[in-house]
Parts: sequence; structure tokens; C-alpha cells
Amino acid sequence: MISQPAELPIVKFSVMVYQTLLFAYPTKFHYEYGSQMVQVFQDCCLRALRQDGTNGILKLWAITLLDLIQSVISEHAHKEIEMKKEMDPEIIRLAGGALIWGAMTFVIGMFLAFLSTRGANFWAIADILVLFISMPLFVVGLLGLRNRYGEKAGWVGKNILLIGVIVGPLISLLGFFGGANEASWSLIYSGPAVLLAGLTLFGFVALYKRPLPRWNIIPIIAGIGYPASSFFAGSGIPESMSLILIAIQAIALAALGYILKSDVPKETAAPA
Amino acid sequence: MTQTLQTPEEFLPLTPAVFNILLALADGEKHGYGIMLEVEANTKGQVLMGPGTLYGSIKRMLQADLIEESDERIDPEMDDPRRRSYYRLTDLGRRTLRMEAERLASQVQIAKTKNILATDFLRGVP
Repeated sequence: MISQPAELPIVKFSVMVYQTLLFAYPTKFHYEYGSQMVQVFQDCCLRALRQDGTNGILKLWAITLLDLIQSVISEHAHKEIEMKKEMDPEIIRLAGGALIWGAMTFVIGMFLAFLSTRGANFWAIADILVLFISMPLFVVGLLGLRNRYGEKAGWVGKNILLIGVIVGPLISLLGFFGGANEASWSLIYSGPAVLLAGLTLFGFVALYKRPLPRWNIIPIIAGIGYPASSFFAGSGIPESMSLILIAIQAIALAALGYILKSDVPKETAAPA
Repeated sequence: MTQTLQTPEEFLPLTPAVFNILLALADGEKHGYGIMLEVEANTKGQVLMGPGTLYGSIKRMLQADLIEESDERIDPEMDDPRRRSYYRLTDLGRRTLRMEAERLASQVQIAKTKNILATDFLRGVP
């Protein structure tokens, strides 16, 4: 039985390798054009084999690999431009503002909580500021941060931030169902810590990937203060020290909000 | 009814890939491999377009409304039972191609007046 040209091992192998290499393209592009590209590549393989035999296939691979490198870079760049165009600058600005206001209400709330441990009774206001105002604002701000820099931060950075944003408020919510006891309040106040721990971990990724236009150290400083002071709460760290850490964190959160507000995507012309 | 507000001037000058794809589609719809072969023949093998460049350009030309997908069918001239997507020029694409060709022709005219072309050298112009 004579095998069809497309079934020749060298063609089949080339097509299989090319199919694998196509995963380097952005997913959407791969999904939309991958099968057509494979079809064209197979046609090219058959023609090269017919004209020059194995040498033809080798020449074709040289051209194809060069084309692949160029076009993968180009498609990822276009994808980024398209994503920036799709992002509403107003939403990004809003998210930046949410981080700034969230930082302010958070630090005031924590200060009032600190005063409450010293005899004053500001617990109710502190709870409202920390749990009902700053935490939702952080959620909006961090989602904006993820939207704006998630792609550049990569899969890990993007999803760590998302996990923090989801799990943090959920933990607080669970605490509310636990009743008015110390364990429940610990759980309620663990929510913001988990939320900000997500930002801290995003910050470590940001140090490596550098998604922000400047000050890539800021997400770590903006995230670490409260989770660290909560974690070491029982280990003898003075409360005033925790408060200083939280104040530094709030300044960094506001700075992060400022970066986000000032780095809104611009309209980019996309020539054909 | 939606109406395109884009004008051909917005796309000029075209990249070599886009110009050659438009030129390949000027005389009728073609599928990807057909476009590739036509470009290669039109440029005497000087423009070798790989599948990545081809479909990257096609994607952006579809977005810019320079070309449109006509349908999917089997190419009767090819020994391949698989269906292929065919592409054709839009009115905007055709006007853009014409304007780019005119722009290039005027450049060639300038080159001629400056005695740059090989035929000018043959006439003994230094």
C-alpha cells in the first residue's frame, strides 16, 4: 500500500513538532488560527519535500523557525496592546483611588483599634473602617492592580493576588458567623491579613517580573505589615511597633494606588 | 447599521506583508496557502511568508476590515479533503491597496527622475 504524502514520517513528525510549537502563541490566537497554520505548514512541507527532498524540509524549518520567533513576539506584543485598549482607564483610576482611600481608612481604623486596647472605646468605628470600608476598597484596588499588571506579572503573580482577594473576605465572612467570641474576631481580622498576604506574595513575584513601571518593591511593603504583625502578635512584639509597620504599609498602599492611578492605559493606534 | 469610519490613508504606508496579501487577493478570494504561494510568485521568492506572519497579518487585516472571511470549503485543486477558510478584499481593502500602489508608483517616479533605476544607468547616466 502506498502511503499518502501527508502520512510520510518526516512530514508527520514536522507537523507534530510545529503543532507543539504553536503553543508559544497567545491562547486566543492559537485557538483561532492554529489549525489553519498547521494546514498551511503541512502544505509547505509537502511542497518542500517534492521539490528538494529532505533538504527542502530542513530549509523550510529554518524559515519557519525564524517566522515563528518573530510572529510569537509580535502576537504577544499585540495581545498586550489589545488588552490595554480593552481596559477602561476610568476603572483603573478608580482602582488606584480605592487603594489610596483604603490605605487611609485602614490605618485610621487600626490606630483606633490600638487606642481601644489602651482603654478608649473606638472598637465599633475601628471595625467599620477596617472591615466594612477598607477591605472592600482593597478588593477593588487589588482587582484593578491584577487587571493592569497581571499579564506582566505572569500566571503565579496574577493568581496569588486573586486568591488573596477571594479568600481574605471569605475568612472574615466565616468569622461573622462564628458569634461574638475571641476566636471569631481573630478570624474576622485574619481576612484583611490574608488579603494583604496575597499582595505580599504578588510583590515577591513583582520583584522578579517587574510589571510596574517603577518602584516594584512597593507591593511587598504595601502587603507585609499587617500580615506580619498579625502572625507575630503573640510573640512579644510591642503593639506600637505593629502600628508603625501598619503605618508604613498604608503609605506604601497609597503609593501603589498612586502608581495605578497614574499609569492608566493609553489609546494605542493599531496599524494593520 | 454599522458603518466603518476608517479611511485608507489611516493604514498607509502598509507593511510589505499586508501589501502583498492585499495584492494576492486583488484578483479573487484565496485561502491561506494560496495567498502564500501567490505572494511568493509575485515577489519572485523575495518575500517568503511563514504561517505565523501570514495569519498574524490576516488577523489584523480582518480586525481593520481590510479583508473578510468568505467561507470554508475544500480546494478542488488540492489533494486535501480538509476545508479551508477563504479570504477576500473588502471595499476598504481594495481602496487601501490602490492608494498604496499609487504611493509606491509615485516613489518609483521620483526614483526615475533622479536616474536611480537600472534602465537609467543603461542610458549612460552616472
